[in-house]
Amino acid sequence: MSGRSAGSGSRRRARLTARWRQAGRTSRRLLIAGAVITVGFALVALLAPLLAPYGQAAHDAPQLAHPGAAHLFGTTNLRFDVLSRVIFGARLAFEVVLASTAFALVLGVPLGLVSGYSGGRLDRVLVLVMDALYAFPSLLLAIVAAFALQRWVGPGVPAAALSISVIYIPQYFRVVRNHTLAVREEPFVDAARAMGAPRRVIIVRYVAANVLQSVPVIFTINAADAVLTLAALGFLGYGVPLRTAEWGFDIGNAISDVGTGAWWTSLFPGLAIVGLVTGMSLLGEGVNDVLNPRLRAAGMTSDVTLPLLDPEGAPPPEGSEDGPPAPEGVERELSRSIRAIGFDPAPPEPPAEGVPALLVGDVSVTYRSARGPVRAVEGVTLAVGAGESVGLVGESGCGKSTLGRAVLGVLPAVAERSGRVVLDGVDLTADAEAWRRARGDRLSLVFQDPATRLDPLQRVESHFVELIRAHRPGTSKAAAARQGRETLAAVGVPPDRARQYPHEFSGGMRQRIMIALAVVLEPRVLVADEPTTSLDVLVEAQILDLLTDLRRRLGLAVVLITHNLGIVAETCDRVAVMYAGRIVEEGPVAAVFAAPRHPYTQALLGAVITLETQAPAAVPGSPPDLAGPLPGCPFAPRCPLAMTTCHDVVPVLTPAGSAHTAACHLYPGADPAHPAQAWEPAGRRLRLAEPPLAGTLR
Amino acid sequence: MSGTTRRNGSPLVAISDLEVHFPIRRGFGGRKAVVRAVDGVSLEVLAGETLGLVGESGSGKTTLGRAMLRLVEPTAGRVEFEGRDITGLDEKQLRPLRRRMQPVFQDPHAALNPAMTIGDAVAHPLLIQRLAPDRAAARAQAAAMLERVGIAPAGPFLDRYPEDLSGGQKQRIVLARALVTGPSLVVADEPVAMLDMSVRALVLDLMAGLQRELGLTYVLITHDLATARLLCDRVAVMYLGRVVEIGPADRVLTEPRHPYTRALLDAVPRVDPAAAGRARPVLPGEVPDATRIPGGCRFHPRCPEAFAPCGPDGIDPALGTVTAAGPGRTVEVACHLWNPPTPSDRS
Repeated sequence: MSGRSAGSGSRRRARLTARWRQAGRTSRRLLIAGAVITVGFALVALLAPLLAPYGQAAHDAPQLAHPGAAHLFGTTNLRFDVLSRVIFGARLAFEVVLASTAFALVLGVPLGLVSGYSGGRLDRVLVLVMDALYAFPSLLLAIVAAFALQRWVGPGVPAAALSISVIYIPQYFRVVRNHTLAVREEPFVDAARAMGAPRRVIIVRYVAANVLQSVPVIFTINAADAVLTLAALGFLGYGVPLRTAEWGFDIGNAISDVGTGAWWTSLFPGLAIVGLVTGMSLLGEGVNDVLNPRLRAAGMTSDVTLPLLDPEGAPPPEGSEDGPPAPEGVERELSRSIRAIGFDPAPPEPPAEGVPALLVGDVSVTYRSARGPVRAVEGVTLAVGAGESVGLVGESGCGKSTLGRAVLGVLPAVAERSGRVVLDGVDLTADAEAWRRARGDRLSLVFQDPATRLDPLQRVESHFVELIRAHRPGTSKAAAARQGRETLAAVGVPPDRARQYPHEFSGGMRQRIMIALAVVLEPRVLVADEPTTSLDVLVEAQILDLLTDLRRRLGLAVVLITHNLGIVAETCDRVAVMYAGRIVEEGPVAAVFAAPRHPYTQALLGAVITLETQAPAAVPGSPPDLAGPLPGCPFAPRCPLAMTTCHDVVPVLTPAGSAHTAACHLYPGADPAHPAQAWEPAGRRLRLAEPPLAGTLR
Repeated sequence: MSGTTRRNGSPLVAISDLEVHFPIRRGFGGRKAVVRAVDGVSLEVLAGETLGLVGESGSGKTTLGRAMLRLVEPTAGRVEFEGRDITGLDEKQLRPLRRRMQPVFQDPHAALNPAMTIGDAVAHPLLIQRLAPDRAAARAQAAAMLERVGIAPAGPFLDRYPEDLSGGQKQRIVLARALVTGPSLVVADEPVAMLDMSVRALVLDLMAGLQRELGLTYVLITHDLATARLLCDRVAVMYLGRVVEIGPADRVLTEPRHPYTRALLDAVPRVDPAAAGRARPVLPGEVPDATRIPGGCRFHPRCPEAFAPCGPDGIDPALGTVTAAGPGRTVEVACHLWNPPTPSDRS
């Protein structure tokens, strides 16, 4: 890497500091403990000649003397001073760990990079060799290497380090190669190729720079292992020569002493091994935790290649929805959405007259984050009747996906919810068990990306059997499979494909399967979160038609979360526009789209690019930071019509048209201190019929 | 945008009979198959125009764009850039041409190297192309280009990393990186698809302005017909590796000739409240597997208007002129409805 300026360095530091603060208290404490132990051993190793009362090779002490004033830890049968041997052993351990890691890094990392980036025959041969080494029992491999190296190189630190590094070269190679394979496909590598960068430059500046982030983690984890391997080699007599102090060798030598009651010759070197290995492991895991918060969030700690596989595992960035805060892995997501969770099928109670299928009552969701609480959803109230569909729209980060998850009760652990979710008159927030039973049954969900929500190892049919039998335990497998096939046929998937695996289906077919799974138990409420965003326009049209058809036939209440206003216009009855976690306008689609009242809705509609658009207008500015205080209307800083009140008083939803409501001070009643007596048209309203925002394309 | 850009009518890129096929192996030791991603495309990109490549995923539009930049190797056919055949050149011979043709990618979050500062990311092409004597000079030029794309003042951004920036900002930086070497051709693959609706207009507006100022030629790859209509002078509609209709955007996207173009247009959701709840014809099925391309017209299994010559044993329709109106104004369609097959085609 060419030299970075001081500014970028401090930014890096700031990022590390932030990660440090995000790390839990326990992992911070463990990391500190590990660092203290490891640094302590390192100091002892460094200052060994000063600290040790005797030389490591001085064997003129009395044989097997008890611990005492002259020999604090006693002496061995070979007349060594145990304390001096333990102190010098630390020095050797560090020498060997550092040297073996250096060897492994120097060989494993470049090989992994070149192999992964170039591919082809070289890659196949290297992978074969490395896999063979990896498959070999590691200690045996080290012994073979040590045996050979002691002949050719002669016994000593280099031979021991090299023989241990043979174990780690394949590890570095594999991790670096796999990471390289993934990075190689990134568009920024294509960009580097397109600028004519030579292969060497691409590998060093674009691939290695990103791949090497995982190396410190492997290093810290391997270091502890290397100490153990060295001790094992020494114990078995394949380590360093006799005169060099080495814990494993000393323990091996002390075996015969145990019978004679000389406990000190084995205890102290043993404690030293346990101490250093514990310290290094704690340090390694701790560093791993801090550097890879996603691993921690996913509840996994050791597999360093995982961050690539878990793009969604990050803790929630401030209110962002593009990476939905999902600390659970795909697996758990699956079990939440598809695999049913309940076992006691409560017979669906007939809904009372006039009770909406879904009632969201004053729901707020707050994420805990490093920068303080992030208010992702703020006091949302929404009712959806049977057979009705409500579109939830807004920019990313406005809280629509979080609201969807809150309705399902599948918020991540860092979220806190208040308010009520009522399904057919039953308050689910008061009864966790009822909520659990309802999920996948009367309350179901369709996600954006069907590929990650189906279990790749299960046939499509098994998904249905598992789901149905979990919620309806009495159902036979055959009956459940039949019901699955019928539902598949109803959504346009040929039922004879039910025994195929998810990967054998196209994206559109997979989304049909997801919808079939969502409706097979005849839910009352379906939450669809960007159900067509990853699909092509023709398939999108098919899926939307299917959802509309099912809604009408089954009397489903649908909450459709989307950024696409066109989809809402074509498929929803009502629309709720969200901004900064609140609903700012709500009403029948026709009314809201024909005469949007809230300046934000007007701006959103003005920004839509249609086939007829001549000059689209962007919405200036960006949504507010939900971690900070929002004293007035959250849209005020971007609003072309903002007045003084807007910056001080939070507007509430108030009638703003014949059939709809808006939270905007342009309409009487928006100030909670002055509720509207009755709706009267405001003079300003007329000027607002056209989107007032400028910024044209020309 | 249509008609406002200066065109001189001469082709900047000329593609003839281009094929990009990928061999794949199916399953465990399974049989080999060939994905015919681009399967016989001939078209020209005129200097100063914006040519849209539209179609569903699997239509081959992205692969065609990558082949124009030689980011994938064509299996057959040729690509001429600025009058020079680039298909046979090796990477070294290609390097001086690369500064004249640049990509812009769909996902701005993945298009920037997370380990490189903004300043270095935009300066690096200059150093590679030896257009700046040293890093400091390259960064100064990079800063000027960043300000041109609206990252102004650029100073505070130079030492920041991409992860600190919003999607819209990142896409501006990707644009700056593409433009800093002074290209004539920019191939933009879904440049706004990943951006919020609220900032799309800003980025499209910026792209249109830069095109006017710098005399750029754009190839805009998009599945969004509305974006294509707004930004493109001409569009080429692709299906299963072929161009099925090509012509001026204001004609192809208002009076579609090919049944596939019509189906695509019908499927675009309208915001028009009058259209709410309207039933619209929806084309059934999906784009078939590009390893098993149907015989005859490759669209016939989904085509609502297929007739005898289109069928599996029928004739593969070639692009034929429907209305000729000079360079850049001609509409060509590959459909037997518009260009009935003649007996000689059967040979």
